[in-house]
Amino acid sequence: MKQPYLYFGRKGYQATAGVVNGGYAALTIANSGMLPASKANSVLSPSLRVLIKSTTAEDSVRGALLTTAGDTKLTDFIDGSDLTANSIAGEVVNISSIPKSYTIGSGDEIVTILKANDTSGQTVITGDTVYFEEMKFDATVLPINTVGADLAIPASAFIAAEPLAFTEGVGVNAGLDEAGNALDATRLIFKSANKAGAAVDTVDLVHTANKFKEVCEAMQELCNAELYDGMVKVHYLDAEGQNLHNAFSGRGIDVKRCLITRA
Amino acid sequence: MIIFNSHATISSTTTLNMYRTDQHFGMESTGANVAKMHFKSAVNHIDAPDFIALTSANGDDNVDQTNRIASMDAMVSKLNTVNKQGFVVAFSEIENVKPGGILSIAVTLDS
Repeated sequence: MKQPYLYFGRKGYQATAGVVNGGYAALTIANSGMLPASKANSVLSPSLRVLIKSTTAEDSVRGALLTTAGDTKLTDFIDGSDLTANSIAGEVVNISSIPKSYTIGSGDEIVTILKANDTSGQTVITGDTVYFEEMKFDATVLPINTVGADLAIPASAFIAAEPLAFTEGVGVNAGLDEAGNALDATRLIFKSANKAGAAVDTVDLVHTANKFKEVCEAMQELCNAELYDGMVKVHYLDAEGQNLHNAFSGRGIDVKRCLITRA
Repeated sequence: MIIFNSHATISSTTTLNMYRTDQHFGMESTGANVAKMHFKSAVNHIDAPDFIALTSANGDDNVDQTNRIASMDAMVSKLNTVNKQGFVVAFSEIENVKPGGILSIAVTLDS
């Protein structure tokens, strides 16, 4: 029987509450779909992007290096406006653009963002939202070639799709991305690639809000694709960034997270 | 039906194996230059498959990713090949059939 094969590659994403001391809970496959490798404060992580979105105005939250003219001066990530030591509600800072601003603990995937008194850090409040996002295929965020990194599955193994709640983030930013766009989640369920029994593999997508019906349409289209000499590349990251099949992007669906869970 | 011949000499249970293409469960990356195919096990267990490990050339992380995807693409093409007069040869050391840049394969039987 000829049938298309659907290929999914993992992409990590998490929105979480600000931690005042800068030490965040470990990122795991279960909570974010990624395992960032350890990183000292002397190097960049090419793949992991860390954004801080301020919820209220706070005084003296940014280190001097972030606001002083020079290589480390940052502007608002969304609108490019200048930043000062004081935060304004809605400002977004790409703290991961400066190596010294954050570290990732050895072996435990714990991101630590330096505070303002470290000159290149930003102190947050618990009402701020911090976004961790994997941007491209790179060994600085794992796994890239072990179980859970990707999945190629025959269309006949597709069982069902169901919407999931997505409320990550805090307060007014709950369920929104860094730019304020609403997000939803959908679970795609397949017969397991590893077992003939009752087990299932799942692909959980965090995507543009109110697109569950469009996700179902995209899956219907892809499962009926007449591509038999290679896989249908539904979603994966490569060295250049994200690749998303037109069946999704053409329906206005952006994908923030692609979490593969194997039985 | 699809055939995997991993050795130049057919001498044991994992040197030449046939599977049904409709009992192929899926594929995934399992190593830097390795992707694995999963078939319903020859002992008919429901809780574990037989594996075919596809080994391609080793390079940097990006080359490895490209090679793994190419190897899986090649196997999809084989799985979708219809040959009612005979079986489909997915890989063969004896016949030097090595599609998609796959250098070698290894069969692991569930037991």
